[in-house]
Amino acid sequence: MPDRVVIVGGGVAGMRCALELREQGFDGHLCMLSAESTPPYDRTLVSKALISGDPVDAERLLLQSLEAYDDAAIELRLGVQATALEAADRRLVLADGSRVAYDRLVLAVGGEPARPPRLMADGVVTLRELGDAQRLAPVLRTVRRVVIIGGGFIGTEVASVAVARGLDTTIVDAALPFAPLLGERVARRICAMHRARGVTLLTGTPVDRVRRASPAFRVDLADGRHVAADAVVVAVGMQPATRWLERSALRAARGVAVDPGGRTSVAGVFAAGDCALVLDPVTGRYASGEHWDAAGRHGVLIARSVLGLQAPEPRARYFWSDQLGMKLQMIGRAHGADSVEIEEAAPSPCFIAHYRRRGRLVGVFAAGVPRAIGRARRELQRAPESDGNGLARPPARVHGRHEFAYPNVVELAGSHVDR
Amino acid sequence: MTIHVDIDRDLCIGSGTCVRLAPGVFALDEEEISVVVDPDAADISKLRLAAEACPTEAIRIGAPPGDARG
Repeated sequence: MPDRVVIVGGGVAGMRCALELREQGFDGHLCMLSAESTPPYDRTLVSKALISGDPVDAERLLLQSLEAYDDAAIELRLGVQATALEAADRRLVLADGSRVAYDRLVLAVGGEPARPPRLMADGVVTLRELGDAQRLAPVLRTVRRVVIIGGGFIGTEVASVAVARGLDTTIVDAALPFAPLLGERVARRICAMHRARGVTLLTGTPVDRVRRASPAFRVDLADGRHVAADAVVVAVGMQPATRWLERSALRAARGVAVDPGGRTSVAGVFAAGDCALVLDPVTGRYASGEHWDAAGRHGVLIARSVLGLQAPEPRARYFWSDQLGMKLQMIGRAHGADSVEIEEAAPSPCFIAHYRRRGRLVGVFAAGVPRAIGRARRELQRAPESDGNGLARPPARVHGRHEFAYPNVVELAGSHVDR
Repeated sequence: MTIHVDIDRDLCIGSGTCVRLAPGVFALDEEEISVVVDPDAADISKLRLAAEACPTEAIRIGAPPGDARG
């Protein structure tokens, strides 16, 4: 059992890791370092209630009260930025030059929004933190035209809030929103639902650059067209917030590759949540999870790993999005499916999509039909996706030692990482 | 006064959010679906929090029988 565990990052992965460590009987020193000034909070609200103006009280926002940290003897340090890792000495270096020693380090720093320079004219907004939402919310009450670059979850959630307020709302996406995640048929259904609600959706339309035309903006499309906007939100994806680890023994500027137990290539160092690159058994590639539920579960798994305990049973992955006035939910995966069956549900345009591979259910997507998800879960649990599709199973964990299962993964990650 | 807390098993995906937010009230069963262990173990504000934070809106909180609110 280690004496000192340090968790870097104040998101859900770090939080769930800390709670699970205590839950499993770890009674050594436990410290959480967050670069943000707000205690760990529910980041899913940043693109939902926090920009729509719905009341969100502190109790709903924070993952737990400050008292709860004291009760669990978790030292929470806010406004603290980690800037380097001295792995040989088991020390983390902070922005103020001080060092934090650890026996076990859990990197849970999450991701940061991609900010392509051509798009980031002065005043263009990205969404990651509470402050971003607090700045965008009043803008969405006062402007007339908003352009959102990127039709992923963040972009479409912002669009839903904007169009519900009666704003002239445009989403511009270089490809077809949701297609990589849900396949083309389901993606087209969702796009149609956005258009039916009045969103102007330009698909297959890359953006060349965004220009400031104070007080407005001009979005220049690659096809030569221009779109005027009073506000521009860039939501074109995220990358792990790990550039500060570039010169460390991890060499992990674009994310920290981990084995199935969350171990990195450096003894005593683990990575959890969006900053971790996990081998996807379906694609055979290393990628970041990018979903809330997965991040929390990963934190729990890493806590077990840190303590040398049995990992929890793998569970079908789940994500959800609140948009279009309904819940979009998915359990399992579309990727790897060879067929999709769409079932209409009431009220229109709600629907359920069943994804199958070789006749076996591998994922269910539901638009406005939450009951379909819980039911699908039981069927999916019987054959979890961790079975993969014939790819070699990872080697069994070696008890008690920090044995990284993929010794060449640093080289692999450079060529196989999805982004 | 016992608050009535109900979990819709067809909605729950076992995220464990409720277990974390209302300690003592909820637990995950062997299928990793939430069950109500003791509705009085935490005060009503924590129950409401758990219901709001549930990623599948699987939790319903009702007043004691005889009240029409749900």
